[in-house]
Amino acid sequence: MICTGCSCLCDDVEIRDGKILNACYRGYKVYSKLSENRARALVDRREVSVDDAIEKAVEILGQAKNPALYGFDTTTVEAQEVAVKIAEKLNAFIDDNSSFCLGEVVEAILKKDVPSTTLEDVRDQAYVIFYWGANPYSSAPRHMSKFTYYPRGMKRLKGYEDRFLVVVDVRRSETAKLAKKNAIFIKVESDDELVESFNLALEGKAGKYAKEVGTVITELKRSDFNAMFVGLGLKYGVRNLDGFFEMIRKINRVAKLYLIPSAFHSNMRGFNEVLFEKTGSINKFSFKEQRSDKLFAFTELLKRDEIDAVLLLGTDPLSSIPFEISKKIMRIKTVVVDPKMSLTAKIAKVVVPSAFSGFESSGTMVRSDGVRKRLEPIEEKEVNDLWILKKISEGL
Amino acid sequence: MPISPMDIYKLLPKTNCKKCGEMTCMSFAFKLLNKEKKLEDCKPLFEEKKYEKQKEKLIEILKPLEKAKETGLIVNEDLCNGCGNCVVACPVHVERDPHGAMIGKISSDDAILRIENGKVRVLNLEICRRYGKNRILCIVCRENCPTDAISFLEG
Amino acid sequence: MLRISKFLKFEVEVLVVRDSLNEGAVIFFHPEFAKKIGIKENDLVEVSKGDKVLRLRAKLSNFAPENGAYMPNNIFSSYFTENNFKKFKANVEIADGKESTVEEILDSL
Repeated sequence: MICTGCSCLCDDVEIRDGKILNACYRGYKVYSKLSENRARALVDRREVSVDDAIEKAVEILGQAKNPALYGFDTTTVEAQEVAVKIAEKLNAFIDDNSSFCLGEVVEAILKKDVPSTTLEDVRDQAYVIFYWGANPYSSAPRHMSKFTYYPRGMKRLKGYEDRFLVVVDVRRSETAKLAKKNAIFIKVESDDELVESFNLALEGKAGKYAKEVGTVITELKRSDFNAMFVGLGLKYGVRNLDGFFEMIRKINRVAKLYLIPSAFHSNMRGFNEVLFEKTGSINKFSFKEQRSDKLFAFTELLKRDEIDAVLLLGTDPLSSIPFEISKKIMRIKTVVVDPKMSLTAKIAKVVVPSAFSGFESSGTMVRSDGVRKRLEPIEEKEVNDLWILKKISEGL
Repeated sequence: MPISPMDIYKLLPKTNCKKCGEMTCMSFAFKLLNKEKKLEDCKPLFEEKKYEKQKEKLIEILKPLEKAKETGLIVNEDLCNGCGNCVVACPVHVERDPHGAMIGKISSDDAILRIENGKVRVLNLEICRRYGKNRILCIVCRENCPTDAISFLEG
Repeated sequence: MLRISKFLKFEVEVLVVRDSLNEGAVIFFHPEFAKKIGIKENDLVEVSKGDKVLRLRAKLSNFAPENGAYMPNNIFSSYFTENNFKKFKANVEIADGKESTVEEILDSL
């Protein structure tokens, strides 16, 4: 089975004798709680049939002046494609978590502004494994053991003993604690200062982290294949990511360093790729204006009271975005499509219960490095994201 | 030879008397194997003469399990999140499972450690390098556990 | 015995992180820092920022920032965050009673 607990999409998960083998605790929790707190079809918090809930959803979206679609990071590429079609049909805004998550990193990779590679190639070849502002121990627990640091690969026969680990963080995280032999942990106060130190070092000057940066550059130069994984700590640690990408390009003039986003929701990258193919933008897109803008991010639209209805799928803004913003969902007509009775579902106008992609419905997802995986669900539920979105699309 | 729960079960009274706190002798056998129960917890086995021979045999086959403690491996499940670093780093796994643990895939029934239900479980301690006569004090699994979920008796 | 810290309020920078093992109304302090501000494992603390107040269970962790705290990313941390989703500053003091619940937050809507 493919675990859809995070963007690693681990493909060696087995279910045997009622036990789930090989999946990490994050993946196990999704599986073991599959039947808990399931969503029911609701309109104005009254129980209705799934068909009635969908009909009401169609009515709300069809009548809205400025509708938005948001989420889609835990559903399949196939469902994401229908979501984009609905947004187009409605002249709506469409956005996903990547606008406050690692969207810029995926965008830079899709636009080929920075070099990237696959996790298989990292396993086989990478010498320096560099985590910046990421703690895969928590966000993607098997990242290091399955893909990056620990496994042996064609050119790394001794696994982690043949690699060099670099961890950058503002705290000594679990991942930082693993930086022991052949490794360096750089504890930063400001990520910008470290970016500057790299830039200065490449010009032969000394910045605040001159010593650490010197060590890292020396190690990078020892191999023609190194990989950096960046997380949200970086995104919120630097003033702007363009400067960071510029630094990556500069480093690449002296040593090969590939960039891969560390981890996010199971198919966030899929959403970015689907929208990119259709529009040339990866998120926060307005079909009315035919362009992407930071003002079209779902959080910005809420802040500025720009939308009157939203279709949320596979996302729980009340849990994940600042409360001052998410509470504005109360003021608009909200349709939630979700397998679970999420917090946002509890306050939504319409709830359409769906299936868990990967566990209960099939399709395609895109791993953090862009590799596509066919899901292998335990069961196939008829009422899933794709089915629901198609119904909504037909109704409009 | 690894001991199976069936080997143990065959020698138990098989009366499902529940005196050990388990519903069945079979589940008691499982717990014995996982060291969650002691043989002494089976009251009839020690109180009733007719089980004398079975008891002795059980003590005999459970001996390797007793020795297993010699490796001193302790897993604190509360601290484990199933990252699998220990499973992939383990030198014994690498040797025995070149297409599994060695390359980051971790599914083997004859491994020392395996991730089950999101937590690391000890399966076959007797193949650990810390076990037996020629043991060495390998600490690779502990060294690569960021949360100290794995520790050894001697610290 | 009364603890002096009971009457003290500290401003703390709180990181919002993903935590695969812990969820709920909890806040993690570095043991050294906790000692300094007089917080013990499992104390109930009141975390406040402006007019927003939550009661959280305090836990100690070596993975917490040395001069601050972290919270798992969930509705409790989202309750305090603003433009920077990853950190915020809040006041912390020892409190009595029970942890805040999701319902309390939802009721405020």
